[in-house]
Amino acid sequence: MTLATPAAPAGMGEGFEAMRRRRRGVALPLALGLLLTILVIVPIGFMFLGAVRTGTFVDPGAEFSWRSVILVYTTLPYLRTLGVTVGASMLVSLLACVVGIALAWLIARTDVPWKRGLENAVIAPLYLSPFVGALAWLVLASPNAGLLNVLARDIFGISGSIVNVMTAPGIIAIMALYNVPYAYMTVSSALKGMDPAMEEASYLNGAGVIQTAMKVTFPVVRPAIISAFFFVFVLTCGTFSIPAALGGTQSMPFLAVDIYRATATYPIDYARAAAIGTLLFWISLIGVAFYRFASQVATRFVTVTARGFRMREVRLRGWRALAIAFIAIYVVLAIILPYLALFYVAFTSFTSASIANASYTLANFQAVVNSVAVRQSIFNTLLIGFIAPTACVLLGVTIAYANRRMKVHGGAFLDYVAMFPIAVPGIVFGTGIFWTYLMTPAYGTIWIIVFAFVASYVPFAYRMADTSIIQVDKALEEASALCGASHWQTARQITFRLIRPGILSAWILVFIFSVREISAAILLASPSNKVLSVMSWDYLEFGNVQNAAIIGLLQTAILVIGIFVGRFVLRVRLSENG
Amino acid sequence: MAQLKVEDLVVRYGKVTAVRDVSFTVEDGEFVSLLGPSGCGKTTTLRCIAGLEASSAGVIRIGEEIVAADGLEVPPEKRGINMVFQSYAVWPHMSVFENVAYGLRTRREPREQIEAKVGEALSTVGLEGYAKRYGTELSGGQQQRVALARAIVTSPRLLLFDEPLSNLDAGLRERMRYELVELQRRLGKTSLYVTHDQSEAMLMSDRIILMKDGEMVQMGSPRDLYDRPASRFAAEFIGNANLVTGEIRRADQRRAEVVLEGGIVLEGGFAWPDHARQSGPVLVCVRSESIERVPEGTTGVNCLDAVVETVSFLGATISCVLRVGTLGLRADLAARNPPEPGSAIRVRIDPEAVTLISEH
Repeated sequence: MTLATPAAPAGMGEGFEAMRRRRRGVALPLALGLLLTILVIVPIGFMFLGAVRTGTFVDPGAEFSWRSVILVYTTLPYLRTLGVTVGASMLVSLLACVVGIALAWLIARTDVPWKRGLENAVIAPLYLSPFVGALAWLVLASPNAGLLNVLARDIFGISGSIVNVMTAPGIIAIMALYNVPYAYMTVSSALKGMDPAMEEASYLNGAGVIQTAMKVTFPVVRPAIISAFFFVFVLTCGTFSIPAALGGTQSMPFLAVDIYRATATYPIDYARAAAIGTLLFWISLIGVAFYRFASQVATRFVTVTARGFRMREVRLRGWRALAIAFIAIYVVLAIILPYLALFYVAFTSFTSASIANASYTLANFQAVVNSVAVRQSIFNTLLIGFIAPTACVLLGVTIAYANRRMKVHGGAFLDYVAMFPIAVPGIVFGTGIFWTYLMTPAYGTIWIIVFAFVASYVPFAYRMADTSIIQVDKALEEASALCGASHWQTARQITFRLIRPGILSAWILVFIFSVREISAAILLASPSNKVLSVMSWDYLEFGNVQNAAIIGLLQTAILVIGIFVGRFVLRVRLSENG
Repeated sequence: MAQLKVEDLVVRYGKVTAVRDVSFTVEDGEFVSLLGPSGCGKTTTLRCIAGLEASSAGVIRIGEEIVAADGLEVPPEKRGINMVFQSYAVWPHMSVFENVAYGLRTRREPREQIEAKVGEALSTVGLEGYAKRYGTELSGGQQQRVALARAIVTSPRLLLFDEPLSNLDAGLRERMRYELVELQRRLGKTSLYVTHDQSEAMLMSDRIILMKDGEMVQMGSPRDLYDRPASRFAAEFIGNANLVTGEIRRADQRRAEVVLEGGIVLEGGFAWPDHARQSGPVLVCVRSESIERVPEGTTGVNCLDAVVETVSFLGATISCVLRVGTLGLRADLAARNPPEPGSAIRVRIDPEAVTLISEH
């Protein structure tokens, strides 16, 4: 990271133009560097600072102390929570990877029908809120009132509960359920990118379907599998929504939930929240290091590929029905059943005697939608859902362009800082932002949430913009320059035109993230800046599952409209699968 | 080793027919090439024989065994054959030894036997000392040798090659051609080789099957295909011949006199007995190297006056465009004493080298 300008020989012939160019080479990276530092580095730094204070920075009585750090890093309840968080996250990763690999192999390699449709269905949970999913599962499988348990009682006369998600296994299962698409996408793209001849050579050497899958297919994509594992691990470690919704510390302690509890329940201790945040930060950092290593190995495994010949599909024959059932069960559990439950709760009245003859009503829905607080939170969600992706994309494109096309000084530093938030869970960012802006007028406004979201999601926007710019052949820009266009004319008329699809996908992706995000928003929530996910959480905390479900549906509706507009109006590709 | 017999093979993808009524036999120990431009169905045919692609109709026999027929489809792993892929398909997570040993381990052969066989296969392809390396650490040529060792080590009844040399650079490709042929002759394996490179097919094959648009166009020895093309396509694809249309003026069972554009008369022989005609249009095929310069004033059959239009120096020969009346002909002449562009020369075309093709 060299931010200094190399001492250029100030020759006599050096004109104004050259001087201006050199100044641009410093001013832009300095501005970007400063912005990224404020957005990314300062909050994390302040979180570390906050961990060793007895109170907030505005508190005059606060002083330096190791108390919280010692408490969190050395005493049993926190170490136990740490162990449970890491262990449960590993288990979640393992489950998600096993299911994801199986789904990826079935869809990429066998003759299951309706591949496109099944694939879209498997990826769909990615674009929906895991918190809403958890809420729906609470409705479905809480120990007494859970709809599945009620149904079992009504139909089979079973007393007690058949499923209970408010337990450690339940929480792990639901977290795995909503992380399967990440594992699926990573493994699936590795399988699709693999030279089919690798497997064909195995068949011709006398190996059968299972042997080929075990000895050739999976080993060749092993680096992708490992990187998927660590990706899901990091994501799960920082998850707040699912363990919080399904019972928090009562069923299974989780670090992210502890952070929230430290800031929201008596005794409120912001320093402790910051200390737990630093702990979670280290775990994520280690996970990301493993993830990066695995991804690098994955690129080393790239081999020569022949022109695309149709892959020979494994004929499932009698197993076909079983394979379809397996995929269908996943889709039913991840999407269909949860949303049926949400709709049921949202549109029935409490007086219903049983599920079979429930009375449907719009009254609850209307009451919730008409409340001033809910309207305010819809407005907040939409506003943040517009500002955060726009800011993210602007920042991401500027950094990518400065790096790739202007070769500014300090490009490596900008790249590193812009990618760094990948390693920082949303709730950790929330903690840092909280400590940073507590003393500013931004606290309690939607801007503080915008800052947190932009910092959290800038890596995605930057990476997508960067990939798009790399794909633009330099000769296209050089041709424009030789036709007499200036640097900025070329950028405007050629480069930015060509990367427009990439920019739009990045915008939609960050929009989705911003609308469904809960963990950072919940730490920074105050009455005037509540977004829909926080609103839903508040209702849930007060035991009003029905209103929480209605808000969840509203939030999902905004997401679905966003995806729909992106996919069919702007024709954006959200994943490489379309 | 065994004979390969393909009868009336048809491959359809929906409404598209990729391979239509292809029938041929590869005798025990023979080296046969499927040659044709891309999209001609040669790779599809090969993949059907390998069992990697399902056929729509037809019968494929390896030895006495039927491996593909109506409703029967022996999976590739049970066909007792092996294949060398265009992309090498060397497994990146296995060492060279493990790559080559894979097929033997699959058959659960004893350990010592596997080590002996793999060692022998590696020395056959000239890769002794590379056993512990990983596939991705090798150059393209070395990876291709690993793929070859892996294919021969299982003693397959039939060896298939899917454009194995097309990813190599020109010099290495040249050398590997000779090595492959030498190896095939030494091992005596029945081999089917797919390529779009006519010189590769000419050099390596006992017989060539020329394909176009999913159909077989002509089958024969490299010499036959070059000297006696049976169609315009064959004449153009192999050796890029001069082709002009003419009318038969006089003919017997084997030979004919043909009038070309501008009244030029050439004498030549019919490519195949069933091409013989007494009258009507005919395609005249003249290889550029069969046009020779003769002294001014030479008379006789197929002696013509020509004007040299362009001269390109190729080293041992020069390539000229000659104008005979209104007719343009490419000719390869000796590089010594080349004619000046614009000069008039006398040329002769050996009647034995003029092939008459009746395409109807």
